[in-house]
Amino acid sequence: MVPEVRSTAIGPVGPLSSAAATTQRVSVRLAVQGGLVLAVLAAGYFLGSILGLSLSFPGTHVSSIWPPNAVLLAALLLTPRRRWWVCLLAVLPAHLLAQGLMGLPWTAVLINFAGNAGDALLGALLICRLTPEPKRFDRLRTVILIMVFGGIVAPAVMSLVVAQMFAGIGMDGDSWLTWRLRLLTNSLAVFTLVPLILLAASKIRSRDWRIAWRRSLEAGALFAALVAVGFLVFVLPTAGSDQPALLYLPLPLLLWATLRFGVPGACLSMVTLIGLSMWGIVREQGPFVAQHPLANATALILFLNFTCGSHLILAALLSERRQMERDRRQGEALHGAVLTSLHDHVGVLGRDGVILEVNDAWRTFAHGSGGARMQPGVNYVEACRDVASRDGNDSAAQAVVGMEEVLSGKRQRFQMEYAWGPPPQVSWFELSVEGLRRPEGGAVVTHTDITSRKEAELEAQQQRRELAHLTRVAMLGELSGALAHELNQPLTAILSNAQAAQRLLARRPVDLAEVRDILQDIAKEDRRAGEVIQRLRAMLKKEEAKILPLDLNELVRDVLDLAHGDLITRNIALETRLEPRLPLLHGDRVQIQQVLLNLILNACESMSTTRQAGERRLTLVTGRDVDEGLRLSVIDRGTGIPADEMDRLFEPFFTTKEHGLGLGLPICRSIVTAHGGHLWASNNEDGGATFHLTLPLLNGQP
Amino acid sequence: MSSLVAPIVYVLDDDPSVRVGLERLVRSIGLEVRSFPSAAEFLHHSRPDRPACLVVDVRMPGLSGLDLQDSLAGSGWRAPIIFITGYGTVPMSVRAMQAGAVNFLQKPFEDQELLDSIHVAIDRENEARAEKARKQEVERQLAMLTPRERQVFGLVVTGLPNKRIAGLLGTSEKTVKVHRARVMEKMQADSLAGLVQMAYRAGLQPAAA
Repeated sequence: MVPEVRSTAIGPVGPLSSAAATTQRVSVRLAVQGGLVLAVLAAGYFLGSILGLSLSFPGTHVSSIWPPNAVLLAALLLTPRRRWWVCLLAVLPAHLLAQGLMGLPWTAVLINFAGNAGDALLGALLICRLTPEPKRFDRLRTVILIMVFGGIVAPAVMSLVVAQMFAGIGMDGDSWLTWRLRLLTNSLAVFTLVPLILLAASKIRSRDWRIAWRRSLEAGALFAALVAVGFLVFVLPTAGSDQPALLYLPLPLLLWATLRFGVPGACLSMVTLIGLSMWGIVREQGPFVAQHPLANATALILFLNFTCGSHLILAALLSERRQMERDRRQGEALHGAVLTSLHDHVGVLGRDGVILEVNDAWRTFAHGSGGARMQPGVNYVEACRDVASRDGNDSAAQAVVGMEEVLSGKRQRFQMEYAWGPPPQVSWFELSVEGLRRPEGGAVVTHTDITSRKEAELEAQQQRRELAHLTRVAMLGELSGALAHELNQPLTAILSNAQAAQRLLARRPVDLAEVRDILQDIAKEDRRAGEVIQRLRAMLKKEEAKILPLDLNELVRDVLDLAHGDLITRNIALETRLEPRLPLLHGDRVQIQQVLLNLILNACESMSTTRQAGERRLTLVTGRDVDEGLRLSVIDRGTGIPADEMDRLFEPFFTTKEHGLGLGLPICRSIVTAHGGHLWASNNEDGGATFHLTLPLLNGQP
Repeated sequence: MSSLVAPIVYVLDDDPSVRVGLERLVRSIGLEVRSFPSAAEFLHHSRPDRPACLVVDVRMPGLSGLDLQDSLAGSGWRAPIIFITGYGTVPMSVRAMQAGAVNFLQKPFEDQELLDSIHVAIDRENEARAEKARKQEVERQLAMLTPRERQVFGLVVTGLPNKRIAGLLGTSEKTVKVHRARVMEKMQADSLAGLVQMAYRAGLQPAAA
């Protein structure tokens, strides 16, 4: 079994050569296609010439329609400007052949060629200059340009030139007549043929070969009717110059063709009529046989021109309108589809709060929850206001205020979260009201189901609470030795006092005053011990945060009481610089104390390796912060924070302690951030580190 | 407790309530007490020349109790120290006792514990003072001897017979006997043993025979 060797196998020359081969194949195909088109062009020119000649008025050399220039013009409009010379070159042999067959002298042939080519060139130039890209040949503007410049201006100018040239070589008598006739026949050809050719070309390019059978039937019927009427008007012997009114007979059919089949309809029906009218002329029948042949010719062509021109304009106008309508409907369909696809409940309100439209999700929800009347036409703001006052629903009241603010233009956006439904099956929604940026105003109201997100949030909050509690307990565990010391002091004082009192009572006389003092002190000391226990208990609790007005200095003092023993044990000197009469802050006592305690213990820990007793100094400073309200600094003289640890200080689970969890600082920061403050650290110039804490003031805070 | 001058107890603790309690306790047994919040303050304060003992908390801000012990020993001011602590460790207590502390008490302690320790301390202090007084007395008496008498004294307390002493000093035995009698009289000793004791008290090492 020999493996097949394919021509696309990868080898040293493989991929490159196949790419080159592809390009070669493509350019060959293009060349063939181009050649085909040029051949069609040349053939069209030739046939057009023949047709034009065969349709000339008897006894004259005037044809009712001169297609070749129109064909050339259409070809030029379809090709890019740099290839125009190719088109001209292609039609030259056709022209020579056609005109040669006519037996015209070669000078006339050349002048005619110059005239025809110049016609098409001038027209194409002007049209291209004035039409924006991309060229759409069913736009009204383009059609008018083609008609005016391609059909009237260019032929007018060139006809003048040609007439002069003929006069120059001594041919043709009445140059004005020539000019007139040439102009009219060219414009007729341009009106009827150019749009047809252009539309046909775009149809071929789009490769849309669908055919609607009904329309084809209708077109067939129309064509038959047109032929019949045309025959009647132009060919039958009876219809003649006595009844010029009969000329209007084809017009309804033309209108039908224009209205139903647009530009191609108008053009093709005109072509039919031209053909029929010429047939009539040849048999010397029809409405245009009364006078001198040239006058007949002029009259007919004029009639045909005006009819065609007006119908063409109508067709283009209609086609444009239809396109706009189609686009509009597509836009609406898109809009509707988008709205329906949204999961959120979306409703659009007008400036007065009345619902303009809603999407399916809204409708479904309204049905399911008994708010079936929240349909377009109902004033949503009023409905919410009713709910707010009837049920005393705060969320609804808030929503009403927010919606009114957005609708009146006071703000662009309003958002709020609210709960819906009876517990425990509570759902959470986010209401978002966004103002519509249009002159008529209004707003888009969106209800998003955030139940799962909210539940996750609440759970996360719960876990944060647990975690904070856990670290708090751990921290207090570290403090246990120091706390024992703290409790020991009052206990010692109590025991010494009590036993002193016993001895005093054994003396004679008894010093009752002294004993009374002693008892008072014992009570005081007992309370002091009780406070330590109480503070400990408060920190060990796992309650929800209670936001209250707090005095920062008082918090500092309480925490120092707890930590006092530790400071003594570690032989750390404490310095406090607490600014008096600081404004109050808003927060949870236990949580903020947790942060302070953590910072203080960390500071002590950092100084545990500092040998010299004089260097073990902890400073606490409180005061106002310029931007942020209140500021507290915990300054130690320890080893400082190494540069590579600075960024990771607040990273969860990052610790340099052997038995540390690494959660203390991250939790502190999250507590501080939740209070609206900031926590950060910096190294001191004279050694050690400082932890800075800012907290916002009571007023003007969330 | 026999004392010439009333003793004084110094209490050093940074906790005010503990100080107050201790003051009361000490006063309740009739002793005078002064308290200080820190070792630095205590060192600053001028101390009268009275028998004293210290009740010191080991852990205080600034100079700790143990460091105070070292510092006082270095400066030569002796007074017995009783350590109290709310947070003591075994190495700490060992170090304290080895440096000569009277006791090392954990808070909260029974009153009797503290008071007994104070008594021991005061006794120790009194004994030391008495010892010092006796030495000074002997020195005063020695100062009254003539140089020759001093020489004789020095040799007598080593236990040498008069003959040998006479030989060493280059004088007669009789002269030595006379000097000896005069020394005994001046020193107010009634026996050789007493003389030796005095010599010992004065810190004079008897020369080898």
